[in-house]
Amino acid sequence: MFNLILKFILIMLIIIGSISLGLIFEGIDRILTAKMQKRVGPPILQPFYDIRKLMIKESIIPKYAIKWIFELSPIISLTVSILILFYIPIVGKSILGGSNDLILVVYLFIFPGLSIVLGALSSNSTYSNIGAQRLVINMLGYEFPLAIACFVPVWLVYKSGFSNIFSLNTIYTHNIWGLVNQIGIIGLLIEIIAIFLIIAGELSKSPFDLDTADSEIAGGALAEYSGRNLAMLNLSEAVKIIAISSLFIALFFPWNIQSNLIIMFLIYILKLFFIIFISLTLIKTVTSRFKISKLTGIYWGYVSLLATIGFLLVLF
Amino acid sequence: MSIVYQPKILLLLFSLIFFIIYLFYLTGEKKYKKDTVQTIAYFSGKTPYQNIKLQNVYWGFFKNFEKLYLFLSKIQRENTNDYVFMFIIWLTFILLTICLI
Repeated sequence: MFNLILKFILIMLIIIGSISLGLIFEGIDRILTAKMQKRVGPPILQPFYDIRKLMIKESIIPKYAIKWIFELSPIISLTVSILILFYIPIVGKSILGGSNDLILVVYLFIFPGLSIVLGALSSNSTYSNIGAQRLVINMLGYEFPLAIACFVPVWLVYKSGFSNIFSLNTIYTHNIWGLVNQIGIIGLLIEIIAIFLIIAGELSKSPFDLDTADSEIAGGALAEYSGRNLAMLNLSEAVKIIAISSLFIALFFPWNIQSNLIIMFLIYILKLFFIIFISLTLIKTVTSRFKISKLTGIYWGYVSLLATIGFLLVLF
Repeated sequence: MSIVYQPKILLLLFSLIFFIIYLFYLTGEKKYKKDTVQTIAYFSGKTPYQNIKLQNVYWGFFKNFEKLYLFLSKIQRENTNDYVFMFIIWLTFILLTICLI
């Protein structure tokens, strides 16, 4: 019984912790973006205030929407975003680590986006339909380079003769930077550049923010969402930032796993900040939105090429 | 660490997190003014036709590879031998790549 209560406390801790951390990083992102644009920016806790405000606002459901899909999609999106964190090693090994959890995690990352697509399509709005269409194209685009990028550490672990190569815990406990030569290190650095672009795409941030393009399609996939439904989607996005960054930390930056828990957590926060700053804040601030007709070409062309070159250099 | 991936635990955990999130969701405001103008889906300009085809979901994808599709359509002669020939070429390429690696 005591064990069960302990597990429940741990689950609650991860839910609250991931949401809070995601919202804090969103606040930091907003401040840094504002500073780069020579603005003052909102307070760091602004995302929390936004969620509180949305929870007390009306949750309008369009007249001809499929109500149950429209309302269920944001909850599923948030649930799966949190669920992913149980399979990723954050401080030490993951809670639900298995032998093929990397494949599972890559597939689970499809669900939050897919539920937004379903919710948008069920809203019977033109803007939401266009947004959903763009989100599908975005997802089709980044999945390919994402698969290549995830395969590089798997290959290195396999080449070094370890078992359970698709286990995130296995990859996390073996520093991949020590398994390559000098050319391989250049390959891994190129792979990291591709990863920053993949993260920006996965989170639908500029220059890949076509699905929610405010100035073009009035919020796109999220156009009809309001109140608590929109709050759930915002929370899902915040947790997704943590989840996708944590995945790449486990794959490419698994250092300092021998120290004590508090130091490990602080180092994890620093790594998280580094990844979020480059892939979200920096890329978002210095780029503008791509055209929808160019998006897949950019992913399957340039980003995939970067990921493949990185992989080929690692092979040497 | 478990040796194999366990779908039962995944589903159980999913249900538990879903339940907790749903409880939090219920604390939000659920009322809105039904059958008023605010429930009409937002659109600025002339109302488009209602039945949007599902194939439009992939429009951006097809548009992006338009040149490739046109090229492929051009070389397609509807001859089975061509397909078998291409299959053998790709299979050889894949097997050679695997052997070399």
